Amino acid sequence: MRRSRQFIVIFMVLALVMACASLQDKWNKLTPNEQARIIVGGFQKTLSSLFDTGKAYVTANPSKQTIWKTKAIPAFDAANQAIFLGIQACIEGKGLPSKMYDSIGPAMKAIDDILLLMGIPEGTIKNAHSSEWKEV
Amino acid sequence: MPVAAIIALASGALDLFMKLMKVADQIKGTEKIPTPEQLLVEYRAMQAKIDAEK
Repeated sequence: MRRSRQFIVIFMVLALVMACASLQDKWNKLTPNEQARIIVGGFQKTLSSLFDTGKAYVTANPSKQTIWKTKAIPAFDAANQAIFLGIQACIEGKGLPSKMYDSIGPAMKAIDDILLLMGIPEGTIKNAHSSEWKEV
Repeated sequence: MPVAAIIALASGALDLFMKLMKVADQIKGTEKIPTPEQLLVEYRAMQAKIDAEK
């Protein structure tokens, strides 16, 4: 009984390893431009989600209206412009995953910092990032 | 099986599971790679939301 339990655990771990390798292989077979488009799409979903989160928070807390207008909105604007540059690179066929992370990532981080400063809980902000692509 | 070995195995399995979830997310995306035009549509929609708040 104990031995079969050990066997099941080992089998499950091995199955996980093989599944990881197979999925990673699929990702690696995409062109850099395709990977970049997926990453940009993920950042767009996150940006929209963060915006909706911030807007809902400001509606419930009107005292945060000033920081929303003066800091958060310009940060969203900057991030969306960084995304636009990423899209342009993809249109030209020059999209690279690492470049997308390097150029859009800091702008997204700036938004996180401002939303935290406004008082939005860290967990809520993290949830908004769930659709983003991460390097494994 | 010693407790330390069970903990090590469980921790390794959890780590692998987390990694699998991240890769699975990526693969979900590979099934539907957005075209640059779709990305532009999303960009414009987002910009409209931002401009409305200015």
